[in-house]
Amino acid sequence: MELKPYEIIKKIYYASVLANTVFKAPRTAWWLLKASSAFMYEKETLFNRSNRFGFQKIGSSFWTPEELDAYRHDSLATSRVYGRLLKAAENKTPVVWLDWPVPIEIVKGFDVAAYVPESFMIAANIVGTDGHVACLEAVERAGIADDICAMDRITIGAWLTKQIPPPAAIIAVAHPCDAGRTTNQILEYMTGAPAFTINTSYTKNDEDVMLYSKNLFEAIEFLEDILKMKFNWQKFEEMVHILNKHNYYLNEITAMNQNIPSPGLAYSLQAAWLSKIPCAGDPDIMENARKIYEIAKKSIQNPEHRHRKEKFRIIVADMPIVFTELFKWIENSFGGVVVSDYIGDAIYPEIDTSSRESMMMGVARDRLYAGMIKQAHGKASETIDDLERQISQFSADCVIFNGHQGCRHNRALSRMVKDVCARHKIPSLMMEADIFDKRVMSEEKLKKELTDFFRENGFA
Amino acid sequence: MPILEEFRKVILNPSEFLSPGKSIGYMCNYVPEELIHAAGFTPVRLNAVESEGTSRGDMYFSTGNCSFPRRVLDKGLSGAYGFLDGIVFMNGCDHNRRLYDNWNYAQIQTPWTYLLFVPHSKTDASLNQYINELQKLINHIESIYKLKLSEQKIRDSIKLYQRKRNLLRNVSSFRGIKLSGTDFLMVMIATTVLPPDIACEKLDELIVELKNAPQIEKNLRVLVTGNCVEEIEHFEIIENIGANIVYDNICLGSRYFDRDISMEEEPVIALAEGYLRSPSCPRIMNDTEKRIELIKEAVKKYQVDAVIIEKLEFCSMMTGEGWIMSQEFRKEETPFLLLTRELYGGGKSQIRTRIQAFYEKVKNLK
Ligand code: SF4
Ligand code: SF4
Repeated sequence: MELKPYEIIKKIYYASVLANTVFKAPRTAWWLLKASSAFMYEKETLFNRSNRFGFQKIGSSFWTPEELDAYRHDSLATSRVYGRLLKAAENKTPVVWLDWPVPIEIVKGFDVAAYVPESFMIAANIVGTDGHVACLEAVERAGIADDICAMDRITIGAWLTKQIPPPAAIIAVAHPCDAGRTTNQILEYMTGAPAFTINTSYTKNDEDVMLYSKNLFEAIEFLEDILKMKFNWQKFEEMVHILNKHNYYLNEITAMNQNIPSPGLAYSLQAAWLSKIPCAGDPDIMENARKIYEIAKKSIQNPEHRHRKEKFRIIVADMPIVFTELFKWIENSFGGVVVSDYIGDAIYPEIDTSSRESMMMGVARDRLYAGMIKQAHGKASETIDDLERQISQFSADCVIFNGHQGCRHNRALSRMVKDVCARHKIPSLMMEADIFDKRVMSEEKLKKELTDFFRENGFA
Repeated sequence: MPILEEFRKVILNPSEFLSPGKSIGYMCNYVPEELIHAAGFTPVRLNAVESEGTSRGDMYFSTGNCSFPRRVLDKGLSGAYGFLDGIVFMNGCDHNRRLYDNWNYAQIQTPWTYLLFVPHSKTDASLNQYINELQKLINHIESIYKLKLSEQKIRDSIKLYQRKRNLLRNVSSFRGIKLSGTDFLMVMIATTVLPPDIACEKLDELIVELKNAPQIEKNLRVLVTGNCVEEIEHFEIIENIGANIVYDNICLGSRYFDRDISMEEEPVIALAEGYLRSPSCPRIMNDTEKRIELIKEAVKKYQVDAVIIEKLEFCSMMTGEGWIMSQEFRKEETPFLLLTRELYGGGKSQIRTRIQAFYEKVKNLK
């Protein structure tokens, strides 16, 4: 597939504008989705391949009208990010790239377009799963080996295929993995943009987080210098207040997912993780979380429907995001409800807004608790203890653990993960699909592995 | 040279040269050996030399992990590191970070282990973090051994290690003239295991012998770059088919000795600055340009004919760094070969053939 310059970001911009418009009438939208599901759901075909991922992204017709209404706000926030990016490309105004674990608030405090290259892996599929393959192939053609994470290779591919405007500066971060670190160095080299690396904290202790937050202050100084602009502290404070409220709802949804039966909203939390990366501080993603929170509350008050659905409970550690609708597929095919996963699980601490320093420490800590960084950033105990907590808190019946191809620290933990599950007397499936390269393990193969696992363990 | 035989013996049986209960293992160039030495212990660099395979290590790591930590873990599980009193691991890369975790999980009988977190950039904030981490390491050592690491003790160790690094620089300058790159690697492995005073004595002797040694046969002048490259047999292949490794940019080479620690500053700050801000490895970000510049300078200074970029399978950091280097060498028209392989892996004849073909190409260009 040949990509035209900015083709993907244009399409994601128009798709999110469209979703926002259509979801204003959520019932009609729901009927429309239901009507098209026979053609869009089952498997990728020549005719649905360019739109099937988008269809999955909005719930594969399994979301209720209320969920679609909530998701409208995510679409709105997404359209703002990509709209601004396109405008910056057109007017040649500065774009600051930042690595996904960097608190975006430190860039949004400047009057510039802030862009997170890694969020492109989701955007890439908006033109069909061939979109990400086109990016990956561009990287392969450039001669870069495929042993770094596909999420990162897609980022590089996005630059090589001219899908994102050049950066005025890059703010990178030293976490969570070698793949991210090496990719940032490649991007720095390819774009020639001035770059600053934030060295994050390796533990969640106050002293370490405080030192980490000092890096954020230094990054702001670096940007002030490069952009010749002043940082807007008032805007920063407003975003931190929004973040606190947003986190409150995400934490509550996570806690409600522990209920038996669970409201089954792990998918929404995963989607919230994805949208928080480029849109943190946007009131609309908070509104999305608030509406999902209301849905969760209602579900808990009327559990009968969910009782019928929930036959067993699953923790998914590191799902291949490329197959975005797997949670719903498992639920509908086997009655297995994904109650928690590696990235959606929200346990964000509240941010003290009394001073700039406390807020900066707060956003630093916030990103340390973001899924993937929460587990991957220090010793193995960060991953293993977290999984152990999830198994107990969410009363899991089984664990599906995926060691992504590029995720070296996770792949070094498979023995520990297996032993944790054995200790809790629950079966575990260790998969080796990739986070975002569908060529490593196809959708059919993945579904077959899952089906076999559920059958072998008496779940289906 | 008889002294080289002594170095070889050290590699084959390091514990014979160490006082019992007086050695602490460490991983990677960013662990200041001075702090271990100041506590009265010999810092012993962990390596995969003489490892028997990866089968034991593979019970914990996956086959998608680098062969270096898999082999070191295997060695640990075989009891080869039973003589160590403790180990300071480091977050050099994701694989090595997990070596700490798997070492503990496998319950290898090491009295204590510690994971030192070293920042990934050279900024002021990172330097403060590193100082803080070194202070935590000092506290750890002090509390285990109920001792005080005084400023004076650390200063004395800094002085001794500075002498050792200077001697290694001196020995390195004989490469391509009187000393092969293979033998230099052997010296590096041995001197990162020996007590530093003994290492210095032996290096002094080696320098005397080198001065009187005959010139080695002149061949293609090669520079080797990479991360955990420590295979003597592999260097032998590179040199035996027609090259002299005249310089390197690897962890067990110039990245180890190309570092100066100030005697003027407060010692922990001096160590942090010296270690963090000396020529870096690919784990340090926003420093690629300087690293490549350094290699380009070495290519000129040592009249290098070709560069071999060594990448161990699954080393993400060398994926990026190796690719950037390739672009730069192409621009400069410096012949290079990017070799991806497993440490002590098979396929020796294939590697030999690739290197041979590469040399032919380089010779034709000359
Ligand atoms: S999936 Fe793994 S390798 Fe990829 S970015 Fe996340 S932690 Fe890094
Ligand atoms: S070669 Fe690379 S991946 Fe392997 S241990 Fe060294 S730095 Fe880590």
